[in-house]
Amino acid sequence: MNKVCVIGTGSTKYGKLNESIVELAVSAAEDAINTANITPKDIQYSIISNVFGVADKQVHLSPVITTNLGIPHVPGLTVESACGSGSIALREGYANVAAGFYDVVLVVGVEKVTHTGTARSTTLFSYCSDFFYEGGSGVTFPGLFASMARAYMYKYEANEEDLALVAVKNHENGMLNPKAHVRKRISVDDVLRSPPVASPLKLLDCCPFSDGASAVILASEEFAKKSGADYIEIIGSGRGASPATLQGRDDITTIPSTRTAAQQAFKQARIEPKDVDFAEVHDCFTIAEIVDIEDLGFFEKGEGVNAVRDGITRLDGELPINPSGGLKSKGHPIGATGVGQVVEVYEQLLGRAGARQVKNAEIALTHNFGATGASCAVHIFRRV
Amino acid sequence: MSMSGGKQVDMVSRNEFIAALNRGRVLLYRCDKCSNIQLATVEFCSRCGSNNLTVVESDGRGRVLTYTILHVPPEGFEGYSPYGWAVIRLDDGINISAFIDIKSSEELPILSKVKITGYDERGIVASIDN
Repeated sequence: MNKVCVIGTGSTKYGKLNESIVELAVSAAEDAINTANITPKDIQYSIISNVFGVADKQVHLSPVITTNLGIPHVPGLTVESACGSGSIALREGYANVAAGFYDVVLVVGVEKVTHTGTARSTTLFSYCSDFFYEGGSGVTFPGLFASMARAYMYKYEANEEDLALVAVKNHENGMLNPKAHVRKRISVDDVLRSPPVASPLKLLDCCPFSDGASAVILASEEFAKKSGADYIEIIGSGRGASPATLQGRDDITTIPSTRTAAQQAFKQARIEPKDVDFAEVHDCFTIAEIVDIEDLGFFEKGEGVNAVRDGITRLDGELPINPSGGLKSKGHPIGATGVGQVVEVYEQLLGRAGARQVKNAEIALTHNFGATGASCAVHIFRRV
Repeated sequence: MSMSGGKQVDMVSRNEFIAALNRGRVLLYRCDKCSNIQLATVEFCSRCGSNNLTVVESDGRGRVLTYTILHVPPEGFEGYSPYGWAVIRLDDGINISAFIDIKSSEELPILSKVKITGYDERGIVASIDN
């Protein structure tokens, strides 16, 4: 396999945005093209990740975006894997460059849903579950993760205050991210007193519905060197899958796809979890971040909660988790999220992350999944 | 053993599965090769891959593995809010999940006994089994 590099990235702000889905995607792509020091004519293939284009009256996004970038003859593919679409699009781009099919691939993630309102968005998102068993029986994504949270708290020594600490930490980080959706400092009490959404999760345990787009330019090492752009290398790429339902799992406190994807990525990268300097993980709900950091191999099962209590995962801790603010504060435009994590890693590894810079970061990991982890991809990056 | 039946079929349709739910029963497949039991909506044995499967019925009784009380419902569930949703371990050892008609998180400790009662606009419905 050929080495694959990230030579440029771009992102819109995340939040409630007025631009159309196409404008958002093109804006992020333009930023990435400029950062990579290339022109659109250098792009040979495009992969777009998106879930609810239909909500903004635009599906078949790939040709629409390439046409609006002035490269209508560049073939593409649109990927839908629920909230994991972005990392799975990245993986497909990675595979195409690694296999030598293309030297330069544009990956864009985009989502535009906030205009539909909370009830419609909640309903649309529930279609990402196995609808017959889950969404169709009234459970929402907050409800599914609440069920995981209750199972976790029953099995391990954890409580609602512990979950709240994840939200407090990620909001602290998001305060330092100019592109974050929810830039607001919160306390544990704020989280505990926020309205119930799906017990035991409350409003401030949940990420927001966000609009936004993120883009990366992937290139072969040969092209990366020629481009003159600063670049980082992808040294590990892993995929995993889990049963589409919670009922299909032997243990509801773990996400099997995270474990599989992480093991593959670490093996390929020839490193261990202790070698990672920081990680962007899928914290759609506070409980998810705790489960993630255990399943990724950073902490033993049941110990993730201690890591949070002890401040290990804070920006100034031993293993910063979600320096961007994560889905919780930076926001969660679901098609964009997995791509946006790479934007953060690129900026961090090149020392461009400003006030939220992780000191001396050389190796970073991204982890993003769809639904309750039915689809998952993990990537590991290295400063060159 | 709460299971009964034993009819070999090509495939249980979703309508047949729902009709059984409305009788308070959950249709399961027992693998003829490895004896694995699974929900009758999974068309190959998830253990050995065989499609020689025999339909058996669960009486729909089980215990709550985990649950949530929903306060922000999706469309179509506004009139029921707040309500419960639970993952249930049937006495046959198979999990299923269901809407549960309760209003307070105090009403449903983990390992509570519940029973599948039907399928309607709330999807698969279970109630507390006294």
